[in-house]
Amino acid sequence: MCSTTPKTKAASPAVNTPAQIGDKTKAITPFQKYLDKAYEEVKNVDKDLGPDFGQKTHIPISIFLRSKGSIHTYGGVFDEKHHFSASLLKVAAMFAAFKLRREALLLAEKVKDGTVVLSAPANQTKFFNKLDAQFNPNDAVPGIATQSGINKRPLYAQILSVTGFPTLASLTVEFTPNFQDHMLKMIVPSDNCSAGECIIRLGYPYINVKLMEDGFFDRVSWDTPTPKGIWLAGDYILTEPPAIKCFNADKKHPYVRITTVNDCNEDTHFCGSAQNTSSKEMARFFLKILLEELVDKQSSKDMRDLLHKAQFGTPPFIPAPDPSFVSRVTAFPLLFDVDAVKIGQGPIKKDSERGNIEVRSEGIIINWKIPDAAARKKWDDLNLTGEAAVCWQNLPNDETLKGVAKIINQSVSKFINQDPITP
Amino acid sequence: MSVRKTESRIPAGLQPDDLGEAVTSSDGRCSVVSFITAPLAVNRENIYVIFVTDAALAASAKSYEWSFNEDGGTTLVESTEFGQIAYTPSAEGQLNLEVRILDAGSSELASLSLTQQIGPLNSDLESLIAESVNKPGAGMGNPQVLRELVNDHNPYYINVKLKTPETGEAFKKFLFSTINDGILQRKKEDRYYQLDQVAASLNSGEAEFVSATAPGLGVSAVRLSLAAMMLPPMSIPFTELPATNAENAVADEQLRQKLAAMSEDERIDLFNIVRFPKSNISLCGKLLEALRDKYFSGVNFDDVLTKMSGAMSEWIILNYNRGPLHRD
Repeated sequence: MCSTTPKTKAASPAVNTPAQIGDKTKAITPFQKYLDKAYEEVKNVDKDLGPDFGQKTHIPISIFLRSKGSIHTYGGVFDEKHHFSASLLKVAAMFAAFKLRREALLLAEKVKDGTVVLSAPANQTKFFNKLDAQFNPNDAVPGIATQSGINKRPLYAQILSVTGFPTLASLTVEFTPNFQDHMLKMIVPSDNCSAGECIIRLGYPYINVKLMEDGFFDRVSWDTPTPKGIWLAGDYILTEPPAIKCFNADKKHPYVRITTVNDCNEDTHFCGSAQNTSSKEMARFFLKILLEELVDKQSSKDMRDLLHKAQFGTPPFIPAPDPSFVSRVTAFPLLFDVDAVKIGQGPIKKDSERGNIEVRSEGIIINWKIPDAAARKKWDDLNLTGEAAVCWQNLPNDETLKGVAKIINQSVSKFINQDPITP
Repeated sequence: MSVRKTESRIPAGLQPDDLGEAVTSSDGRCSVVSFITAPLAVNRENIYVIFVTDAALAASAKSYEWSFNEDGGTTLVESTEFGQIAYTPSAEGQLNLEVRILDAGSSELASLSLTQQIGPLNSDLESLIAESVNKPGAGMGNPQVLRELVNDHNPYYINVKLKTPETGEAFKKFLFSTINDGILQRKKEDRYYQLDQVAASLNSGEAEFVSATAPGLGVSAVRLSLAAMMLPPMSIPFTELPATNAENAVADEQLRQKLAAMSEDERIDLFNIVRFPKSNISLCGKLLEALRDKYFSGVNFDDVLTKMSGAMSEWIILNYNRGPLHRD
C-alpha cells in the first residue's frame, strides 16, 4: 500500500511549526495579562480565593486555549508548583492503562506479521510474557523502584484480555470487563476502591515510567524540594472506618510521597504527598486529550469519553457522575460549558492556620459559548477554536467556587474581545 | 556621489511599501524603506534604503545623514555616500530614524523620518526552541534561521496570497520551507555580498552581471532568470534546461546572458525586488505557484506536499533551484 506520509521538508513539523506563529504586526495583548488581571481582581478585590497564608494557600490555575494551528495560547498562575490534588491524579492511572493497551496492540501487530514469535502453542500467557519483557520497573524513580511491599509489574491478565489464539492473524486486545468496570468507577464517581484496584494492578512503577516517557514528570526533580509534573504513587484504598472500608483493603500499598507546597504538617514540617501535580502539566495532559494526541487518537477518544461521563453520567446514571466544581456555580452565567472533568478533593495534613479543611482541584475540557457569527469571528481572528483545557488546584472546600469560575469567564472573554486592560 | 541607479527608481508597478515598511515624502520625491516591518527585535540588524526618484533632487544629492535615536537616549549620527545603511536596535522601546539628503555643501535638500517599535525576540518561537532542546531528535529547524524568519519576515510570508485561493495551510508551509532553505544556504553577510555584486554590476559595471546573477538572490534565493521567464512580462522566452550538472550550468549561463540583454530599468527593478525581503518573498510565492501551475496544473498545494511521497513538491523545488528542467 502506498504511504501518504509526507516526506518533504515543507511538511516537517520541525520546520513548519514556527510557520504557525502569528503575524507580529498584529499586536495582540497576550492572554497571560488578562489572566493576571482577572486573578488579581478575584483574589484581592472579591476575596474569593480563600485566606492568604502565603504559598501553601496559593490557588494555581492553568488555561490552554486550543489553536487551529499547533501553537496553543497559554496562561498560568502559580502553575509550576507541586500541589497535592487528591482524586484528580486518578487520570494518571487511566492514562497508564491506555498506554498498556496500546503497547499490547502494537505487540499483537508484530505477532501477526511474524516480527515477534510466540512459541507453539501460542497463548495469552506467552503473549504477556513478551509484553512484560518490554518493561523494566527499575526505570522508575529510585523512590518507587526500591519501595518494598508494592506490586512492581503490571498484572497483565487482570487488565487486558488477548483473544484469537491459536489463530495469530485474528488476535485482539481489549481491557478485561472487570478492569473496564473499575476504570469507569475510578473516573466517573471517583470511587476510591476501584481506583485502588486499577493502580495496584498497573503498579506504581509502570504509572511512573509512562508519565516520564511522555514528558509529564521530570525524573531528576523527584526527590528535590521542587518536583515537577504529575505524580501518582498512592492507591486511595480506604481501610477504615468499617462502614466505608474497601473490598480490597487487604491489598493496601504503602505510599511513596514527594514534596508539595500545600500539604505540610505544621509540627513535623513533612510536606510529602502521593497524589500531586502542577496545574500546567495537568492542563497540558487534558489538552493532549482534547487534541486526541494522548497515547493515540482512539485512546484519547476513550479517555475523553470517560471524563465526559464524569461530567454528565450515562443512562441509567449508575454510577452517578461527579461533575466539575465550577460547572456547579449558579451565581452568574458561565460563559463556557464543561464537557469533560476529573475532580479531586482530599484532606490536608495538620495546619491550624488553614483549619480542618479539604482542598479541591480539577482538570476540565471546556467549550466556550459562541452565540453568533460576530463572536465566532473574534475567535477565528485569534486562530482559536473555542475549546480549552483547564486545571486549577488547592481551593479550600469551604470556599466559594465563584472565584475560579469568574477568573475563567473574565480572562478568556476579555482576551477574545481584546478589551483594554485598565490598571 | 549622487543617487545610484539602484536607488533611483521604485520597481514598475510597485509602491515603496511593497518593498518593506516605507515612508514617502509629501512631494513624492524620495522614500525610505526599512527591510524589516516593525516591531523590530532587539539586537537584530535591519537595513534602510532611501530612494530618490526625482531627477532634480537626485542630481543635487551628494550624501546622506542618518540619525538613530532610541527612546530619547543618545542619538547616533552616521553619514553614507549612497542611500543604504544598517542599524541594530539595542533595547526595547521606540526607534526614531531621521534621514537627511545633503548637497555638496552639506545643506539639507530633503528629509524623511520613520518611527518603529522595538520589542523582544518572538516569545512563541523562543518557547518552541527551548522546548526542542529538551526533546530527543530533530525537534526544530536551525534556530538562527528560524529567528530571522519569524522575527524579521513573518508578516511577509504570512500575507502572500495565491492567485487562486486554497483552504488549508499547505501553501504557507511550502513557502516558509522554501524561504527557510534560502536563508539556510548562505550566511546573511554572504547574501548581502551577492546582492552588492549585482548592484555593482548595475551601478558601475565593477562586477559582471552574468556571473553576479548566477546564484539565487536574497532571502528566498530567487534566480532572476527564472523570475524573468516565468512571471509577467516574461521578458525572457521560456527555455528548459538540461538536468545534468555540466550541461545545466552552461545553459543557465546562456539564460543569464539573455537576462543581461534586458533593458537597464528592467534589470534594476528585478534587482530591487529580490533585494528587499518583502518583495523577495512575494516573488518566491509567485514562482512556486507558477511552477505548480506549469507542472501540476489543478493540483492543490496540500496534495503537492503529501501525495506521491512528496515527489511533486521535490520537483517544484528542483526547478526553483535549477530549472526549468527538461523532462524526458
